[in-house]
Amino acid sequence: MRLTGVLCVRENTHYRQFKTMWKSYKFKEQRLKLPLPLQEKNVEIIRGKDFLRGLDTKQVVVAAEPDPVPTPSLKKHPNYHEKPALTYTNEIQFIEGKKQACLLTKSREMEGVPAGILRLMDTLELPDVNSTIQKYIMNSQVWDPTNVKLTKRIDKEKIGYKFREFGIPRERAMLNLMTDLVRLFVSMMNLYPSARENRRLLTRPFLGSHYRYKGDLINIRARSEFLISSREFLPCFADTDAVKESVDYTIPDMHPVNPTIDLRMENLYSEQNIPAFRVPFEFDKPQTLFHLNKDLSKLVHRQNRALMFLLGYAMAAARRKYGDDVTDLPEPICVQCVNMNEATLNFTFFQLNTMDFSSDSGVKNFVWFDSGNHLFAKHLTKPWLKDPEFKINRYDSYSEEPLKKLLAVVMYGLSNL
Amino acid sequence: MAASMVVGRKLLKLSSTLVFRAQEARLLSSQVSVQEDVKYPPIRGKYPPGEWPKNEEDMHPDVCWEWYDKGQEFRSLPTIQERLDHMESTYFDKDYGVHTYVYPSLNLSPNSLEFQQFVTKTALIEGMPNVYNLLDVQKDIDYLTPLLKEKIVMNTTLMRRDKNNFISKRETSHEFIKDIMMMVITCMGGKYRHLVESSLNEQVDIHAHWNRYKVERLLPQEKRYQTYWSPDKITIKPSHSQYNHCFLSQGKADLLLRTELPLPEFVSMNDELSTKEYPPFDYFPNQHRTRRQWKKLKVSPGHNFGDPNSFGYLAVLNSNDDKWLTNTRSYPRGVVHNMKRGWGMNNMFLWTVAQAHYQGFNSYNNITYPFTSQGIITDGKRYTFMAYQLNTLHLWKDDAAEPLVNLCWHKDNQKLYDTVEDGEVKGFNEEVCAQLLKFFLIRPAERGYDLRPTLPEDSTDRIKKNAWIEDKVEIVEEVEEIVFDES
Repeated sequence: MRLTGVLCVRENTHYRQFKTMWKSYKFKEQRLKLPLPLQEKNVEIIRGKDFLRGLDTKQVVVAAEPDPVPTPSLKKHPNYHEKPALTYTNEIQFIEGKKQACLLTKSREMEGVPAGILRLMDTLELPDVNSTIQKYIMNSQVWDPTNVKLTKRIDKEKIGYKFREFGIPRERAMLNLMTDLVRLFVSMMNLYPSARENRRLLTRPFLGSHYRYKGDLINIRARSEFLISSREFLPCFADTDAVKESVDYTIPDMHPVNPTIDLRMENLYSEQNIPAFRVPFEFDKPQTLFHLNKDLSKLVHRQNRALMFLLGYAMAAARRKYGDDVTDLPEPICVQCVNMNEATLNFTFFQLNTMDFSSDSGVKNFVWFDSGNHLFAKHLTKPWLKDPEFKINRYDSYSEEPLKKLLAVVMYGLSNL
Repeated sequence: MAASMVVGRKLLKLSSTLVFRAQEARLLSSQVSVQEDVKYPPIRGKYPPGEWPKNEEDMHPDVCWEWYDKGQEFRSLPTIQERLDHMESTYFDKDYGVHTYVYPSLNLSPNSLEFQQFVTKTALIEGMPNVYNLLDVQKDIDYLTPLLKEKIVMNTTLMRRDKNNFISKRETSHEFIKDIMMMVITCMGGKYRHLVESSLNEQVDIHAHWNRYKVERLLPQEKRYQTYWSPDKITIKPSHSQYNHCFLSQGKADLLLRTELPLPEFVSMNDELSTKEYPPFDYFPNQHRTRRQWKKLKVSPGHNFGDPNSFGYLAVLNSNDDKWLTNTRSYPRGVVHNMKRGWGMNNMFLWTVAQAHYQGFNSYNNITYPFTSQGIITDGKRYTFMAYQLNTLHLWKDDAAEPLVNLCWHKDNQKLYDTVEDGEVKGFNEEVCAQLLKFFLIRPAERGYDLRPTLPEDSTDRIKKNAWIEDKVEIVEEVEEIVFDES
């Protein structure tokens, strides 16, 4: 044992013991011996220093470094195009709101809800599901065990208050509620034999679609939560007379700004045609889409997204049915979408009448926006107040009416109702 | 002078106390003469009621009384939320927590299945319990099998789920499993109401803790420090020298289904199977990656307290979740197979223990009826099925005092299909398909006895609720008509 600096530090815990040990103990270094098997084999042992002295360092040749791997260039990719295309994905928001979305999709905004769905809302009876739906809401908001730090909140009543909140994140709560609602309402739909034979529920479908807007190529890509696809398309929302009348209608424009201003430019793309299935399939006609916006976007942007994705699905399905060259469709194609907030349900209905987007004149497509159906109200905490009522999130004013609308949307197009 | 003052004060005190005691004695004697039949407190036996380990080195009779008193303390609390809070607040320190073994649910050390069986006290049984053979669901299975084949074709070839879409391996298999689950629920939801009324959660953490016999309990660190400097002053409590230790663990499930009523019990507690032998184990737990740490105890069975759907129905574990389970080359053959089996067994054990805690039981109050739940481990193609039955929570007793054993049925690593070619499934295994569907079609039923027997009858937890959110009240604004003078 050598008396090194580490042992002599006064902060050492065994300092006192070590001192007494050092006085009594006398250390003797043992000499190194060769192990027996090495002695029997007569192995020569050389010291490391002696071995290094004998070497000539100049003789040793160092291998040359390998060439660096060249970074793959984009231009060699098979999907590379010199003329960039415009792409629309889930992250994009339109600055002009509904007006810009209507211009891009060449559609006329109609009032209220389509007549077929209004008729179903009166005739269909919702069974007693209030307790199960309240369970779903509580499972999404209160009983879920996740407890993570939430994003920073700003309250207009008390600006400058520093929130430090833990709980269930927003996107998780929304996903829980949507899967539960789909679980209940699709199982209600499947009670009818026509639905069981013709319709299928898909989870996380992929959409890849494209169209040409005034000479520019626009790609649409999305991944939604659920899709109900079928053997047949939905029956039309509006009559043929309304389609003929739409020639006279002019869409309000946003001159001097081009409506494609918010879309992203990309050089790597391929002209896809995928309405959830890559190749034609028995059940590949899209009907009802369930889409979730997980970011903190406003209601207008949610509806715009739903409209763009519905256009994508309709275009992809129409191209499979009629080919690429058709301008005005002989039979219009209808699709509908349900998108959600934490507590509200929004519906979008779309009818594709033309595939001709080269000019603003001619036949227009139709769109119905129905938004603001509050399922319940959520009152957030106000911790700066002393009343214990404001220390916990409160939930009240539960209403059944959006569920009736949802039932009508899911059941629309079924025979033998 | 000062010393005499002190002595004088002491004498004064003594005299005053003596006078007071004399007065007290006089009063007492007058009372005793009035009371003729005096009642004494009951004499404590050597051991508390029930069966206890008889070896005094393992567990001293005083320790047995300590465990018994804690159990009575829990029973006196009327609600379950209070019991959960009491467990957290009284039995661990605020800063340090409890000295426990942190037991990994996925054990990476090879050949550790016997150790895991010992710690959870489970006996593995090959095959499935007899409950599934008695089900009369052949019609529904015949209806669902072509739909399941269609789903396989859709998910593998037709729909776009691949690396080009920037989706991880875990996510693809998660979506595949969820797709199959939603298909079964939506097709059968009208007939089997428990599928719709249950609650479904994704990516849930499960926590539980328990005590196990035959693992040495060391002295806490503060006490050991005292022994080094002044060994005479210390008095060791009997609870510090007992022969069991706390274990804490955390699991993870990909998808959870919970129902309001429990599943039927697979085997009764009086059956021969529930006293089956399990492998003994004599090594130190540190050999198998379970280390002692100061941790805070936590229990959660996949939901917060208050949910009426509090009984476990089905847990799906994604085997593509962890790189160790998929990386079969890093270990010799069969080791990963055992590792996967142990992973499933641990997760099922943790889940049932946590369920028992949320019904009012804990390691001081043993369960009075078996807890059952089902589990599947898949990546979409290969399936292992598990059915777990929790028979005891008194794992801290030796085998003579508590002969009951927890049971785990399992069917290992079977392929559902081989390949998909030209839109057709080849090598489809109908046995696996039937077993998979039976896991959804078995109905939870009422057991016929009280499910929360430790609670008092007037407890607030016994009240059943149907509504949690108030209905919308339409407010009608009344505007007073103002009549102006015509002049």
